[in-house]
Amino acid sequence: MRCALVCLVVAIGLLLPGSAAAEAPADSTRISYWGPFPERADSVMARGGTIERDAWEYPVDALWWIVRMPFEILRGGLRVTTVWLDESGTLERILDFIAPLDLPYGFVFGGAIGRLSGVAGTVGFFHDDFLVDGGRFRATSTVTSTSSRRIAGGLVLPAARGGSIEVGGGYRVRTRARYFGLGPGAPESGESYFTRELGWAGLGYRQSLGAFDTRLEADVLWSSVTSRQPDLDDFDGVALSDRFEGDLPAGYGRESQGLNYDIGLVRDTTVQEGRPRAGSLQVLRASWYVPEDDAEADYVQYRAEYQQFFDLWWDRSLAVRSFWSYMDSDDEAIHFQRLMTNDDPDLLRGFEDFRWRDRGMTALSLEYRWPVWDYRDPGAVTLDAYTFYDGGQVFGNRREIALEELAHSYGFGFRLSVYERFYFRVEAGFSEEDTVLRLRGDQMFQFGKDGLYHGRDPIPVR
Amino acid sequence: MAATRFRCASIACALGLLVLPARADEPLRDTPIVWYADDQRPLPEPVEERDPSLLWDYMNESVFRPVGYQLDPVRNIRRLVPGVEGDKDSPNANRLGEVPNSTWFTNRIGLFPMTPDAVGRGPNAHAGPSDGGPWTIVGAKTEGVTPGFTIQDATGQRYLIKFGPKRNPVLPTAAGVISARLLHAIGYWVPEDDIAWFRRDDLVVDPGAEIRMSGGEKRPMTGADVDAILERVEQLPDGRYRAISSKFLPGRPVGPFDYKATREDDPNDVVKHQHRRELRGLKVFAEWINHFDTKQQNSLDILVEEDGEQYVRHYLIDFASTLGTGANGPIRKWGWEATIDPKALARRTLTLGFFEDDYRQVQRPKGLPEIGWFDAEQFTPRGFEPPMPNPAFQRINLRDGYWAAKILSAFEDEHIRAACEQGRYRDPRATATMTRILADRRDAICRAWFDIVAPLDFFRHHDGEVTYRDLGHERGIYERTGLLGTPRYRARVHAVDAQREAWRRTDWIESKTTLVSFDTPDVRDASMTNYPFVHVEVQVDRGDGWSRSIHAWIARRSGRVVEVERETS
Repeated sequence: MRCALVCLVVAIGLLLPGSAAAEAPADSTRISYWGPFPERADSVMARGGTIERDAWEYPVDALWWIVRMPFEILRGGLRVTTVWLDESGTLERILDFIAPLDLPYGFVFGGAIGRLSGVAGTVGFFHDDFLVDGGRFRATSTVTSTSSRRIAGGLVLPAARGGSIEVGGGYRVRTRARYFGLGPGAPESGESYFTRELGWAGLGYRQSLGAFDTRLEADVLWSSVTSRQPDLDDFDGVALSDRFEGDLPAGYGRESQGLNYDIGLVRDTTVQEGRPRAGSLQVLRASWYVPEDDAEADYVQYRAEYQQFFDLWWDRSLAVRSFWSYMDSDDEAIHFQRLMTNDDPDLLRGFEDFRWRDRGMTALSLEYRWPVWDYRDPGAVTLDAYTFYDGGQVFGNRREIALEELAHSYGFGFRLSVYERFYFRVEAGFSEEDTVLRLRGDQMFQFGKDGLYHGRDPIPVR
Repeated sequence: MAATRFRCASIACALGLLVLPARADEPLRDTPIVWYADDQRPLPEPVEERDPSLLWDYMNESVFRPVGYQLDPVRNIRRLVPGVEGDKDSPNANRLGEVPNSTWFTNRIGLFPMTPDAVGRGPNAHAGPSDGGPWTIVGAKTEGVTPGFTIQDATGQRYLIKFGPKRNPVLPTAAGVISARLLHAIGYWVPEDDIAWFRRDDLVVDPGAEIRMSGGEKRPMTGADVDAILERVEQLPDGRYRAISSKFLPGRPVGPFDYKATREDDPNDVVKHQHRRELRGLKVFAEWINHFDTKQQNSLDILVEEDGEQYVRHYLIDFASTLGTGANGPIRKWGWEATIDPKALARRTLTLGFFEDDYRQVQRPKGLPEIGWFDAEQFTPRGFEPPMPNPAFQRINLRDGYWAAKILSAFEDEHIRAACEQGRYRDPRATATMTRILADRRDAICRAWFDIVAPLDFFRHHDGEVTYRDLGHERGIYERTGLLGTPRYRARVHAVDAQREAWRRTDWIESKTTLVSFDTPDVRDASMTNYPFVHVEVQVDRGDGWSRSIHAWIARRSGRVVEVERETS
């Protein structure tokens, strides 16, 4: 009877949670900080368990399951797809296909979004070993959802003594180019539209001067611009010819063709391409425009530009850009499309493009940048935030330059750079007139060595 | 009116369901403390090998699981609603708050004195591959940043041989070995890693060896393949190569373990991993050595066979990404915040860059390229965040953290130095510097946790007296972190029943020692039958007021310490 009772007690003890065996004899061989520490064979063991839940958790959890069920289904589908892509090797094959190969040529893709241009997509081809050692070729094509298009190409060939020859050209149609009138007082209500067609081709020569990081730039550029009635279907806007009937700007509806003879001196001490933190870019340029039609005004344009990048504390930087540009002509009426305007790269980012237009323009941009995200290490894949101020003014003659005429804009944005290569920026610019959002794959600060090779619209032709 | 009353009552009931108090404490029991988990029962069927997709893991752990965790209403109610118990304790901790020995963890330096030699030796039975004969290469891989191969030495043991990148050969190899030693001393199952040197002539290619190419395909390996691998590795002036050797674990690998849930086909795996104290507490150790790469792929379950029976043992592996370096070289940011941390991004944006992140201020020791981005000056304890969120780390509570800090405090400088010497730095200053950095980080971490949970621990009873230890004072944590002076202690002792109800309340008794006697009338005169336990409550004052209490219950008949509870709020 006693034996049966003992067995029953032991059996009950075995069944109780948290216990696995009868009490072990105190045969210990090690002393822990708690005292004797039994060997495994002499010890009570436990299976462990789960956290006991409070009663209120069950209905809360049930509700949560119902709410998140659709997301769980979505997640499950995503998991199955991802695992299949990974394990079947499909993803690796896709990445091998689109990953940059170790080749001197390839395709580039870009895009932009703007109110006027709509959604723009760009595809380009480059070849960094073209024809000769050091020869580079590049061609890009852009189309937009508003039927604007652009195609440009350029070639750089090395020349003797550190020089280079550039050949390039392009064609551009802007279906919604804007015109507000001339001068710093052009009212916002003067907004009107026209279609602008531009072609250009040129030859340039770049020569390093060997000292002070300077180079000489000389270009001969042929260009042709025309304007015509815009297609404003599905767009709420007024044609230029209607808004300014009786007071059309000089050259409207007529083609302007001619040659620019440019010479410039550039000093470039910037350190990096993608997110420069130190150095400066200084440009002095003069350009003589000779029209093919004697009736059209010729002019000499002078431009001075200064960009400085200050390396502040802790990987912060301040970028400063200032320029002054003026067209000097004996003739009052320079073709309006050749006038200075706030368009790339001379943006006032709180205003829409082409808001201001006149013979001269001066502007100051300040941009303070600081890093807000690194993928792994600072400078590898880095997202910078920035705030900026753009202030500027167009003018017909130098006496018009006045503080009260300055147009001010400010804003903030984010820019992504990967291993010192800039990729895109997204920003919001504000002014008393407007709020402008931009998503762009190009830089505001043109420290890059752009020229005909990059297919850029050459300054000052608009 | 009646309808209104009914509505009010229904709402009250619903709210009552939401704020029901936590279940009452379990009654005290005079039973032996559990020091071993019963998780080595023979498996009825072999477990299947897990091979989780690394790509899905990144997505799931970086986005879906963290979002689900942050939005979990149960978790948020526990955090935000007053009166609702916070995070629950780990279910695998014993009644003293310790983690029993198991297939996950073995108590070492935390519970037993350990010599520096033992820490330096780690799990290694031998000092790497035998140099009594050639190393036969039986397999290799070329993809990834660090190539490597598998060898079989003259004794028949297999090792994985991996290299550091050519421009930083010492960094990841030293880090891997040092961290393995430290984690082994703490109690985790880790492989036998060692620094190994060899010459090209020591290597022969097994005729059956295959090499896995970057596309995943395999082909027979040749001597030229070996030369190509070694071309990417630094060769020392004497012709040798430096590598880290990792001995193959005994048993059959069955894939990594997930830091969440359990392995479904392992009946011994009953405690959800995210609730295991040793995995939650790993966050503290990971912070110490900056082990940011705690994804599940850096763990390994091994099907172990003993006496013809099999069970699964759980290892941590691959520690090259520790001590301020990754496999490819020094890494600055990882360990400080998750890859995508919206709060940090918003903070940096809104503060306009006028505050600098700590990780950007870390300085590498001048003239010591063998040490990565790893210091103690910018280090902020309890700020560790791996780039990929870890489900167990997210659930660490104050008791888990204290448990880990307690173990960490057992490391003396000599232990750390012994581990660092195994990294075989070329520059002896690197060994000294790494030792100092780890020692300083240890002190900062322990101080941070000991300020929350009083480090009064290891209660032992003998002849009516209970002694305990002030680990913060005894181990010099407070002294080294600037809090000098002699601490004061106070205790009160009650006879209690199994429900913890006291026979008589007593007053605090102050003392300068960590000894409490319960040979007092308040205990002696209490009925042994009705009040079979003694409750000892202790506090410490280091000059800034009395700490939170630590409670210990001792069985009067057996003299056994049956439970310890540490106040955290």
